[in-house]
Amino acid sequence: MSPIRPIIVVVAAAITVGVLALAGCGDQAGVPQRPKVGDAARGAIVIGRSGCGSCHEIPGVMQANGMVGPPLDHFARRTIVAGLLPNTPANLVRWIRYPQQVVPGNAMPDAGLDEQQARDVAAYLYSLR
Amino acid sequence: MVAVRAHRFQALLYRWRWRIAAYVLGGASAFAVMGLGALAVVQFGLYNTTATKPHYKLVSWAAHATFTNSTRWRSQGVTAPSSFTPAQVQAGAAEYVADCMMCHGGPGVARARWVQGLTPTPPYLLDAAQRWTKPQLFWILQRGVKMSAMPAWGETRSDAQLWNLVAFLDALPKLSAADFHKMQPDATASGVAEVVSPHGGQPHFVSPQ
Repeated sequence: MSPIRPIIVVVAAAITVGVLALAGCGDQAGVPQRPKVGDAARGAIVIGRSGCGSCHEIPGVMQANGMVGPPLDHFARRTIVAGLLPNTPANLVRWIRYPQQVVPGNAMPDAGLDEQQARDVAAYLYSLR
Repeated sequence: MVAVRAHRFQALLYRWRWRIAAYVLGGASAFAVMGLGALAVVQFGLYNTTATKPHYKLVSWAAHATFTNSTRWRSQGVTAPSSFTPAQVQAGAAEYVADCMMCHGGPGVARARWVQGLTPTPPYLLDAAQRWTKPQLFWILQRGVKMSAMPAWGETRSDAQLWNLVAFLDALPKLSAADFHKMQPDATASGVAEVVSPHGGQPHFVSPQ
């Protein structure tokens, strides 16, 4: 066997591992740890049945490709909710339940979610890292 | 030469007769099993049809994609007006508030509470003019959607009324919640929807007349 072949294999492996390692760098580094605020699986169902996807792009929810409001991808990383409030569980739940109180006259309606439903929705959004 | 080739081919078929029979029988059996499986799903209700349980993602994709493509292909014969008048938009807004807002909401306006029990869920329509062409919107309004709660409004509305609705949907992306509130008539003709004052505060209910 040629002495070159094992060298090539080792170098190729090193490059592959290096590229993969670097690709992972920085992706999850700055994502804040979000507290467990509800049940994300139930939240996905609430999102589907509340029509949220007809205004927002939401990863993981079928037909959630609305162009009315901003996309909600990487929501765990968002620092501001509704362009106004720091992204904390309490603020997020309040925005989900009573957007007309937070920003009167904005397009997002008070959809009538109760506290548990809103917490579950928030939990799903916080799972989008 | 052709005769020789044909003879060789016949000989091959004869030599492989059991193999061919096995494949044909295997294929037929597979179809029979699939048919029985489908029948079992129907007869035993193996697919959960309740509205509380969402579709499997594959089924949801298939149903929605079929609806989208069916609409795209079949609406091609419809010709939309080149433009709409403000009067048409206003008339469409009145129709929308009367019969559509309960399920589809509006800018700053929620759908009726019980609508969260519908599968598939009626979408908010604020960006409908971007998703669909005017002929497609007319088609959906006129013909409805099977296995959903979307009626064929053509059964009870004239084409002119439907085009008014399309005019309103066309204008909707540019309407703020305050603009929309100004366009509503004093009371809704049917249903109960949460109507929110553009000045904020508690939502109030508009009850049927």
